[in-house]
Amino acid sequence: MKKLITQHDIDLVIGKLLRVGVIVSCSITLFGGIVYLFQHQGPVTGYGAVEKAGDFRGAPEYLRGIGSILSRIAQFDGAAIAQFGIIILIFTPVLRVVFSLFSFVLEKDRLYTAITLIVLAIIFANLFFGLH
Amino acid sequence: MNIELFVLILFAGAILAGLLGSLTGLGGGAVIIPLLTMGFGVDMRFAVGSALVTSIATSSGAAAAYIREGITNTRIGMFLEIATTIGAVIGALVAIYMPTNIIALIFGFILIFSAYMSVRKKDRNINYSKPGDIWGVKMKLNSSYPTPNGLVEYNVHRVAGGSSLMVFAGMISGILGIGSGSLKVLAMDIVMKIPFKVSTTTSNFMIGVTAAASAVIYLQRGYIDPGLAMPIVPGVLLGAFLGSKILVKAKVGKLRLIFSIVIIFLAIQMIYKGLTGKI
Repeated sequence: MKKLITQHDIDLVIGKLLRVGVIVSCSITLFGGIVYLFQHQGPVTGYGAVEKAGDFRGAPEYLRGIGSILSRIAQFDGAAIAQFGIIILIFTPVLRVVFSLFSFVLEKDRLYTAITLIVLAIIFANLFFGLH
Repeated sequence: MNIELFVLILFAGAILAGLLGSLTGLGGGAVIIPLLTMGFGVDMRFAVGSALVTSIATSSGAAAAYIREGITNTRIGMFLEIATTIGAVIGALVAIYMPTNIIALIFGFILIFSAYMSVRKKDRNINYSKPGDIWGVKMKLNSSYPTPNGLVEYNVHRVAGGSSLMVFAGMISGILGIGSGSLKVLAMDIVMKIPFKVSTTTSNFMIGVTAAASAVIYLQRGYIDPGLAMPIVPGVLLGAFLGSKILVKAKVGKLRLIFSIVIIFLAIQMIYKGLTGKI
């Protein structure tokens, strides 16, 4: 019996997906960056080195969660748009793992379906670890 | 410094970092950290966050080209990713409490090691088809890859040792935000005796996934700032793209050596700053 979808087909799709993911995220980040430059002028502040970990202020609070980023995008905030592009970039390799999962399911490879699910579980567990 | 100027200089620096990273095979993230901390006095945590995002961008960009060649072993990659993602989570959590000068020290040593790995002589006469580890069979890791002389079969060795090293590679990547491709290649190429070409492409596949595992923690902790990432990510990608064009045309042996010396110089400076606490 001829296989309808071969490993090679899936690989090609994954390759395209990665390229599209990088290009789309980069374009969104660049666009957001240009908007950001129009909205912010003057000297650069807030990036300087601090000694104690507790003194580190980091990126603005609203740029740390998807909910607040989306609501700021609605207000056309440049930094939020740029950060959204970066989040897409972060999830590009995760999407690749999801695609591998499909391909292992199609091959009826139970062992690797399980392994891929474990990897995904570890990545998503982070959503809880990172909280304060 | 004015924001427009800052962004412009960062963009130019990122192109250079991407070029250097691609020609030495270290990836873009490794050069971003010294550029930001020593060049601009940016906090280490911001530098690590920016490097992490950069690693994801360059590895995803390169993977698209690698996949078509059919060398990447997805099973080996996925199997070892259990180890690297666990390591990456631990690393990112540890990094939150780690003093920045210790991070600078670790970074310096890893950078020197990576530069060494990129110029070392590779043993080309290895018989890859020797029977390997029982786990290579059980976990279906053994495979073959295309070479100019036809398909070459390979069997995987020391799976447990390779996996433990991968947990360490994941931790380093979680602490420093770099892909730590050199450690991954060390685990696969030297410990597990996987052919070099398969090791490098599979390691590249793993870098993006490993980085994504710690990225969420970094994001929630405020290490990833769009003001820095916005000029850096496109800049490094552009530089890496230019680098890949040069790699095809020029003989890179000497070039690689020269750039590796530059990298070692940066590493020594980072170690010095780490020791004197000025970072």
